[in-house]
Amino acid sequence: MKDVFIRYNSPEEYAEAFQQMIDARGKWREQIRQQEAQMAL
Amino acid sequence: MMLSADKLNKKSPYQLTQINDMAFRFVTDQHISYIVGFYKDSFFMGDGSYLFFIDNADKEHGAYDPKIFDVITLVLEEFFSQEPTVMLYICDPTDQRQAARDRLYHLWFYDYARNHEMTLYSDSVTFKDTKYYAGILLRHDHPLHDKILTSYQKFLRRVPERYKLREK
Repeated sequence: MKDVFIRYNSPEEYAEAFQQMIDARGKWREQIRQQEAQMAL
Repeated sequence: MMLSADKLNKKSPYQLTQINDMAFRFVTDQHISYIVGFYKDSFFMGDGSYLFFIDNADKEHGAYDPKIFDVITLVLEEFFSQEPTVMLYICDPTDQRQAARDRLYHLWFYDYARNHEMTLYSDSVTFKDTKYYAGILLRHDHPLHDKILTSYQKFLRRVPERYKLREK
């Protein structure tokens, strides 16, 4: 059965994963900004 | 997954404008503009989980507005109605108001969970000298409910307080 959870092998990997989760807000905002700019054209 | 503004607008107290398949903009009676939506998670589960975001685009603050909770409730109902799915959130800490946000999210999501047979779990994580509030919301009948909850709790516990960049 395919593992549904992403596995990490060290504290550093957990830290990087959490950092990416935090950074996702900025990526989402940028995605929204670009999409709204497209809508305005 | 696709959430439809047309469908949500039949009941929403504020008109939602569709930005993408899972994000909307709305403006409140106090003329404050919000963006609400979901972003696919690829850090906790490979599939079936999304990060929830609500953004006060212009960083304006108004009086408490219960209609915002009504909008969020409709969005969540539509989100959780489509397929077994998991919602994650991390309260925005950039203006040091994450604790207040966590209280508000708890107010919203605890009420939502109680009325919709859902599980809400939230915790704080200190990471790089900042306290983050993170949570998860999923239906009681999610086929992997217990495993997901346990795994998320473990995931948060394993985030170290101090972050060292890996040597390349």
